[in-house]
Amino acid sequence: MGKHEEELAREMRRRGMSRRDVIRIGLQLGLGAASMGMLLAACGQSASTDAEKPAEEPAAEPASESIFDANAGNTGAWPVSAVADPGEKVEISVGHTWDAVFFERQLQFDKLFMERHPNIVVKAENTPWGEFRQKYTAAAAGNALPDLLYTQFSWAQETIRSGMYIALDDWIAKEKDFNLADFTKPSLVSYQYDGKLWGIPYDEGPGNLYYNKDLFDAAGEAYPDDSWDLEKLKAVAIKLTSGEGPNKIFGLGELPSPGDSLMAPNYLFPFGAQYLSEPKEDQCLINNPEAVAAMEWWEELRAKGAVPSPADLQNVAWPAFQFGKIAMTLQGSWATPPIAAGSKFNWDIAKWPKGPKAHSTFSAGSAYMITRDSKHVEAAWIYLNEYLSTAGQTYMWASTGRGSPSRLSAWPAYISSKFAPAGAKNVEEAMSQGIGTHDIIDQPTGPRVTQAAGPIWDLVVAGQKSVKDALAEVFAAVDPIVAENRG
Amino acid sequence: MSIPQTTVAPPVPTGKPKMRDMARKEERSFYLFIMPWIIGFLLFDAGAILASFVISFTNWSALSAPAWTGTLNYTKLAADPLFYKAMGNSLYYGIGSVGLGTIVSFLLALLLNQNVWGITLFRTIFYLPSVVSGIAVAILWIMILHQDFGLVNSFLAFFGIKGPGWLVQPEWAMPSLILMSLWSAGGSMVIYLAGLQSVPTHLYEAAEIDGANTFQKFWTVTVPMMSPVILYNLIVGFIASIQGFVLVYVMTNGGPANATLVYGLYIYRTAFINFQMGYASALAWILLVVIIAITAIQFTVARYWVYYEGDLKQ
Amino acid sequence: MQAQSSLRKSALGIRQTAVVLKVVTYLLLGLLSISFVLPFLWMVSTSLKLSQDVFTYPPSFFPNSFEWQNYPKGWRVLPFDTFLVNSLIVTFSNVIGNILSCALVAFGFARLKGRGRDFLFLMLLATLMIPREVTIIPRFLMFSAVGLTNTLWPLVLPAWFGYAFFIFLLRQFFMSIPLDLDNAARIDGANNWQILTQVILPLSQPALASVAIFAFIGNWSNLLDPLIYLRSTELYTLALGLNLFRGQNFTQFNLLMAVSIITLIPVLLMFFFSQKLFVQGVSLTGMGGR
Repeated sequence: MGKHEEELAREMRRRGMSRRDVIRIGLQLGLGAASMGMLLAACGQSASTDAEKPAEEPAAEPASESIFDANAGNTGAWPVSAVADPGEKVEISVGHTWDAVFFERQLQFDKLFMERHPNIVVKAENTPWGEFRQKYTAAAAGNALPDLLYTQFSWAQETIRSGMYIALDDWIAKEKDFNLADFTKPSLVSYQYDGKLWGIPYDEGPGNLYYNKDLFDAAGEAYPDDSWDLEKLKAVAIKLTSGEGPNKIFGLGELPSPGDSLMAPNYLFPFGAQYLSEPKEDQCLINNPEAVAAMEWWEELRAKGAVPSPADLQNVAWPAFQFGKIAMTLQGSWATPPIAAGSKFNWDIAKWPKGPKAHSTFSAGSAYMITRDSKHVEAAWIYLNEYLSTAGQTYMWASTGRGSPSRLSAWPAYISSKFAPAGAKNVEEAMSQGIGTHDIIDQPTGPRVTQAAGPIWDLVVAGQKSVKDALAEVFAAVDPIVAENRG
Repeated sequence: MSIPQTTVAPPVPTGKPKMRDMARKEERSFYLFIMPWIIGFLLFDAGAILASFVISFTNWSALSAPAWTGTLNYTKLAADPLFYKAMGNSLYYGIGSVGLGTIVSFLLALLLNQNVWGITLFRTIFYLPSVVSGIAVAILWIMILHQDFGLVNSFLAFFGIKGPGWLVQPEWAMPSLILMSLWSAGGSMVIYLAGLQSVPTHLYEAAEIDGANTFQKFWTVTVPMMSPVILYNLIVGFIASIQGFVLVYVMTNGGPANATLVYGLYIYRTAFINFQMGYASALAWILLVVIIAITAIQFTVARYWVYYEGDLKQ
Repeated sequence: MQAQSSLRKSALGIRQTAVVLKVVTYLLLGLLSISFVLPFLWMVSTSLKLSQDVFTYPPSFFPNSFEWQNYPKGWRVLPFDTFLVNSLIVTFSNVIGNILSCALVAFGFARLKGRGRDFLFLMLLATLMIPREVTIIPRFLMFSAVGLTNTLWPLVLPAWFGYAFFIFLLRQFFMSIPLDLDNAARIDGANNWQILTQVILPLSQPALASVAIFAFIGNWSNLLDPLIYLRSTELYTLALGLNLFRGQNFTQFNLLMAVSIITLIPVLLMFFFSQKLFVQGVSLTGMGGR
């Protein structure tokens, strides 16, 4: 035994280790090194199988019995594109951001599409909503965008102007039954730029008044209807507010904040006020007397304790309405599926009430675009044309209860579906009667506007600043930002 | 930056050729041993870090071609109130969470270093919050801290106290987040536990023979022997907490009134929400300089309190 | 005789103190455990609920009914079997790669001297200090240029070249091992490699175990890298698949939590069993140990 071994043995005993431990750890490291070889082999394999993939069979089929019937809603007449199918197999990729459950529907659509178009292989990429932008910003920097890409209204203008997509007008012109007039007016706004259309919306929905019927019944109050105005909303919200501590019921779920890009149509337009000058968004108008008066009018509800304090969770639902503690809430129509799945009380949908000067509610949505990196624009167009046709929208969004299709012709299928709540016709009417407006903040300066204004308003929420002072500060912070949109 | 010298046997010679040979030989093996990292650094890190430096002198959305703007991003930054706010918030959060976290995780490690039945299970439980789903944690904290619906305020109301809006009042939001961060003290606890396991028993025995009580043993044996690990946790914890923003992003997104707009979140927002990659890179490089300065201070101060048994100078 | 009895007395005293200490320890452990286990309990209870029971007020930690089928249902929504295999490949190669490479590099920094060492160590730490948000894209472009995106290589390769967090950690542990041991070994003719494998590593088991734990958990739950580099569903990892439950407007929390718990099990098992490497406790009082 060498001297160092004795020393080592002594030190190990000092540290409470036995010789066996030493042998064991050596063995483990050895085993590790051996298994590493196998892993690397496996790794190489998965990399290489991927490399030879194109033109092979599409992505793994969903390993499950889906909650959606693959053939339900597959009734519409699929448009026949003026663009001919490719003569040999091509692969197109589509970047989605569906929740895992709805992604199954996507795969069902793609499967049916590939049956109709044997030479087009569709690869659906699905990315978590919260990380979607990070992924595709990197992909854009590397000129590695998929052929088709999901785009939300809030970043559409920025990405259109950076040249990420191709204009679709020429493609639309080729299809004689495309019928652009079928799209609800607000739905196209965010995807137009420079006189061209850069994306085709799949959904566009208004803000609706969701209400808890049980709480109305308990208070003996009649449900909201078309006769309501905002004064009535305010009076009922105060009336339904009751109780203390854990038993407290709040009349209304939320109040306007200039940190919210959807705020103006619901809270300011009805009083003849504005946040930014629409549609150019080059002036801040929230400091005007009528806007200050409107915001003060709303804040009275906070003073009366009729509105809970906000909990602004990013990318995580904070479903205070679903607790059954809130009588009324303003939510986009996209809130219907989660409310339907997660509520243990009776509820329904009414239109957002009218104000003294106007009847309006926000409207927002998302689109699909063909990217500049697309290698198979023809195939991508054939896909997009069918995906967002009446039949496609019916299959994807109407028959599954997701709602808010961008084409008016797809609404009847939604309203008659078993998923639609009784008040679903109110949602459609808001869109078809011109109440829903896309005059929301959607210029590239939008994120910076709300980032500047939100923190100022937080002090009003915290009771540390008056509405008037806060709006003066919002103006001072926002006007220089939107000045970029002038000229 | 000065890092404690860790010279091995023959100190760097000047005179005899044989000694110089040995030093050269040692140098060769030094480079041989760290070669994997050097290769990895050149392959994976150096290019990306350098690129971010170059990008910081451009106006780049990452979506289209960059435009050279010289030092514009840096001059803009000097006049940006949010830059100072975010830096202040991050220092507040870093010092608060690392300071408290060090104490809590050290105490936890001491507690979990007992040789009692079921200790493995307890260690696993204390480690749980650092591995459970971030969404579960966020939702749970909202349920705990919400002004109107939260458990804390319901509990306080039981005693007739009206609790504040923990995540709504600007002055409470950051302390709330710092307290929340203590919940994941399990990570550094593991390192302290490993450190405690490595303290030679004979030192305690020797101290006992000298008549030291438990507290004295703690101060004269445990703390000095653990000091390299404490230093590690301080430095790494600070680096991580000054950059980290995941929980903040989900819980408050920087609000209320930018009270929790930490630096990492500001960079993320600038880069991926506002598409200002050039400005984000400038922000990142300033942070790099600040962290290097703080780390250098930590290493310098460490000379006075960190004890390396494997250090010739001792 | 007298000496013996006083010895017994003090032994008794020690035993009493030990009992009191044990009781205090258990009390503390028990109380703290409750608060630390809370998020996990909420996850478990959510995973067993119907979707309309997830958000109730006050929050309930006990489900009305036990919806065990949430587990197989959630698991089958996406090809999680495939994700599991990918996660295992990525995680294990990272654990092994990190332990091997970081031990080597840490030994270099802790035990050997060479020109530029301090500068290099600073560079090493600097790789941790630069926020990832601004290096993600350049790094993606690099892997893209060599055609390695949409493969597992970008997730697997770097681990074999050391990781600063672990190198620094191991360096700190190595530096607390007395130099006498190296010197004695050197006199016996051991070279650096032998000193590392026969002296330093055996004495650093707890530190290596922590590196293994951190590497395992860090890679198992890593979202960002798979997110950036992977496009084909067949290559997705568990963490990425899990996050797909979080939709823009709709999240099925019960399924999300069910699958989260399934993916958490390997982590907890790993943590539980790796503690065998943490040699059973030398307690503070010095009375434990073996």
